[in-house]
Amino acid sequence: MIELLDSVGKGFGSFVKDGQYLMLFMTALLLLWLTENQNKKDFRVFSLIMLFLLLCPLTAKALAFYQTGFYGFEDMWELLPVTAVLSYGLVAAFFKMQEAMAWQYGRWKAAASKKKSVFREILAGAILTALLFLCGTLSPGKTMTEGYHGGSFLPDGAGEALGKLQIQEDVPVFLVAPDEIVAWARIYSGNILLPYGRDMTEPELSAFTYDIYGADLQELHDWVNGSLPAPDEPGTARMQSEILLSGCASNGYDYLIFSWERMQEEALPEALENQKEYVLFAQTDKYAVYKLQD
Amino acid sequence: MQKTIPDKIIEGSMIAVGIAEAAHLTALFLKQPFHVCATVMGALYLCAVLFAVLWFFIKRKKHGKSQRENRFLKLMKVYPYLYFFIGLFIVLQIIWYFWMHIPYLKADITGEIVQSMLASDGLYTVNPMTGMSYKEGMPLRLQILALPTFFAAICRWTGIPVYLLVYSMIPSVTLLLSYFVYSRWAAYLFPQEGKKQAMFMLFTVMVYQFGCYAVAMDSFLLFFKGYGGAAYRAGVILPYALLCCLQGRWKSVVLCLLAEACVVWTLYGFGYTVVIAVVVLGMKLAVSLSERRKKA
Repeated sequence: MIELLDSVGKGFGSFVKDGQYLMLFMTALLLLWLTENQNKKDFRVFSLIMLFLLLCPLTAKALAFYQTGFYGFEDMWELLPVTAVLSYGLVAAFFKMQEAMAWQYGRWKAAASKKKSVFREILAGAILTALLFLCGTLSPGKTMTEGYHGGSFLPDGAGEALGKLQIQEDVPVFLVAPDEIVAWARIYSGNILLPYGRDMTEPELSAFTYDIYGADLQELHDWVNGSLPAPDEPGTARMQSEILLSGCASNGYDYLIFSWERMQEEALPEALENQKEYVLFAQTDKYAVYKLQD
Repeated sequence: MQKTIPDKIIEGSMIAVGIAEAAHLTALFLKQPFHVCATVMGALYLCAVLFAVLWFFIKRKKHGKSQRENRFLKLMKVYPYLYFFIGLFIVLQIIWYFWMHIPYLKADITGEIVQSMLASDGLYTVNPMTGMSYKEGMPLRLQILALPTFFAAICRWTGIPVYLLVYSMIPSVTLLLSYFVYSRWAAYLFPQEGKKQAMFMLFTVMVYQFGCYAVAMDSFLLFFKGYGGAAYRAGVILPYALLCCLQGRWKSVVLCLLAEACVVWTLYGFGYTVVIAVVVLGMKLAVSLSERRKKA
């Protein structure tokens, strides 16, 4: 139960953390209750009931329990008709502002000209657009999808590295690569096989399979990404790399990709020089691609 | 209540999802290869289109050509500047899908599943994340979802690259469907008030544009995960289901419920359409009881 409440709290936080649409929603609902009388009352009642159900801890917990608590509570905010109520409220506000401005004008002159009517519309529209902008953002999800600079759907480095692989139709190739490339490899091509997938580093993806990875694949992953604990003995790191390289060759992994930062570590380049199975096949700004010799 | 063209398009998309689900489940449980599933799906779609065309001509012959004027075209002529801004925002959003964004992949493997189906010619015969055969398998509650199979079938029929279809074209279609839904909301909230309907659509487009700041927002799902069932639910199914509940169109609500089951419901709970329907029915029941008490 505590976990459910925690999920509810996190779900609420994710809805209000970086923007104020929930506050805008409540303001729009209040405006509609005060101004719209009997018109579309059932819609307003529904919105109010749903807002209460989602905000009140008891009913929110019940809703989280309804979806068995498996998924995060943030999905439940889809039940709130935010877009419809906001847009409805903004239209009501727009025309109320028109009335207010025309009344102010009408106090001093008998009739407003069409130009002034258009000016009022533009002014009201600009004010409400600014309100929406200030309560939201113009840069959608910027921090969530950084690293994009080009016209491809892939982040720059990953796209370039994957583009170097020779992939023929219906001929699968095995790839071992750092996480940022593994994340896109299977999307880039279904003929790229991986010893471990994105679920190695994204716990949420473990829900998609009952398979689990053994310690050997965990070690391989840590080695490629440079996160293996540094051994005490000086020659141990080089020997470790040599063993893993030999293991990759025995398993038939066609391509190995290392980042240039990873290649700066002494043991790996030495190990690569001391073996004959893999040759440097291609290079990009960020990565070195090694291919298994036939 | 006579259905408009947007209603038919929205419900048509749900029927399309249902057809995909039927073909997918048949192939999945009969352990058929993917190409058989795609062929069956294609045949079902062809039958559905032929049936729809035949139905259209039969209705036209029975009732004559519809004399109803195209209200949308009329409103565009009367308020061109409003529809210009609406169109501008939509065009910019679609350009964004094709040239300006990276899909948000967290907790989703749709692209991998589609590529796996095309490469292995099987339905969940290989682990989409590695491309290798499963040792233990994948939960059935995720295998029953039809969208990846539907996308893979389209890629197979048309040759469109997977990333283009899944991360650009499908989200664009979902976004447009969402705007169709809100156009019905506009007509419901402001019947016979063309300017208010146009203003409502303009504000809807802007709410989407400025409101995608968090994962919980509808427009975040549409702009970053528009290929997913959750985006289709948030942008199309739920608002349409609520509208149909308020208008008393319960057959359409059932269609929404079934569509949700096909795209995102994974046997945990009974879906969100049920929640909406229960709340609206509860409201109507309360009103009905209150009126009976007053009469008594």
